Amino acid sequence: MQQYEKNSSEDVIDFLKIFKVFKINIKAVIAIVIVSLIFGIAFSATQKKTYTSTSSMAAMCSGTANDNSPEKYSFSANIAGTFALFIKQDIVINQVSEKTGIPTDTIKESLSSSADKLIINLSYKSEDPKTAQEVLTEIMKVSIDVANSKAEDGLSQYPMFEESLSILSSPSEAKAPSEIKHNMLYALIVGCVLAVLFVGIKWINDDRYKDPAEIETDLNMPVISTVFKYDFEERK
Amino acid sequence: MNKHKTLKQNAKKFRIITAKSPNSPAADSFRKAAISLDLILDSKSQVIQICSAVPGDGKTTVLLNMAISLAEANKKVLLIDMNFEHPCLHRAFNKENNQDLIEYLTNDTLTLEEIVKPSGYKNIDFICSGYAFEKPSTVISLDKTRETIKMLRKHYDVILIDERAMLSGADTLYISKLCDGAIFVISRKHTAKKYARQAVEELNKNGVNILGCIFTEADKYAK
Repeated sequence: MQQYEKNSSEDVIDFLKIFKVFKINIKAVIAIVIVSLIFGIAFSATQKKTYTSTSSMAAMCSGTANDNSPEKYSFSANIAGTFALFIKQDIVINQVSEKTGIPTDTIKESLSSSADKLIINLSYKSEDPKTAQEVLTEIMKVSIDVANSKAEDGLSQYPMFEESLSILSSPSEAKAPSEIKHNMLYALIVGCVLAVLFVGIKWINDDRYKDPAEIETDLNMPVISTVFKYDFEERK
Repeated sequence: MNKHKTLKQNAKKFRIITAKSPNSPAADSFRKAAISLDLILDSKSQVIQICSAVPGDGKTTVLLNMAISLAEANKKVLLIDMNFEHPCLHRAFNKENNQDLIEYLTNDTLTLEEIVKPSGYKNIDFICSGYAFEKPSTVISLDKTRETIKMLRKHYDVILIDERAMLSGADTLYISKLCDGAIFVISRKHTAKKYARQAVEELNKNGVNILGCIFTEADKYAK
């Protein structure tokens, strides 16, 4: 029991010691974190700003089945998933490219589409907020037009799009980027890690006596007094 | 008034916290060291050398603060500056560094009464070293130094000797032959373990009576 108590006490002392080692080096720790944050801000400033415009569509087929039937829901979800893929096909992108003058590869890279159950989420990134909104509007318009024209040609899958799709929200005004917040967060994490490494390495490489007990053990002589760091303004 | 002001300024410069901030925790630490030393000392051991491994460890600061603490306890204290390389005790008391000790030990032009000077602090006198010369050991190993110390023992309760850092020269070992014991100063900020070990090994090899160590500039958690 006594042994257990002793060990517990030693653990607490070690933990306290680590805390106090950081306390001693607090200025260095703060400096490292601040420098890291400054680098984060500087990095963000050098990056090109990208604006994202978003919109959403819904897929709900109007077949003969009951409105709330599981089959209808499942079918609509399939249509949403298919359209999310269709919108990135060359047949759509080429036309958008012709109309906007933006290369197809750029459009493909900047466009993102995903289906979440019945909802199709679309977004388009551009360095110009107006372009982002205009291109996304064009993509939606062209994709629906292409689907309609293919339906008129009698291709089997396209009538489903024509009958089922509806626009939930038109392309929004592109918003300011949020990269700076992310970069700051990363910089803060990196700064903390660097500060911990700095304090740890400094402590390990410190070839000086850290406390009186160490002197007594190492040099085999009594420490008759310990004078702590002080300044001349300190008072009791 | 001016003299008092200068002493106060020097107290700050030489970190004599026992004089500048007598109620501070650091001053208490020096008092504790003085009490410990007082308990160790007796009529036969009253000449103590304050030594350290490397320059900048705080020998003179410890010596001055301990002297004031001992003087507060009504001990009559004499400080002798034997740091011939970088003498600085005279500056702490705002005095000229005359050739006092060297002159006294090498010639017969001065008397003992002439070289012992009041420090300005109650119960504390001091002796200047004089300017640096090539081989201090050739002077301080003279029998006259022993005789001088022997005479001074009769007039003072404690004699503290300041000297240059051990690893800077062999002075410490010569001075140790004149002393009853040594106090070793270790600074948290300046003293590397390897130098401290080397210095203590030398002291032990030469049979120096190490009374203890004073650990300065310790981190506040180092209890």
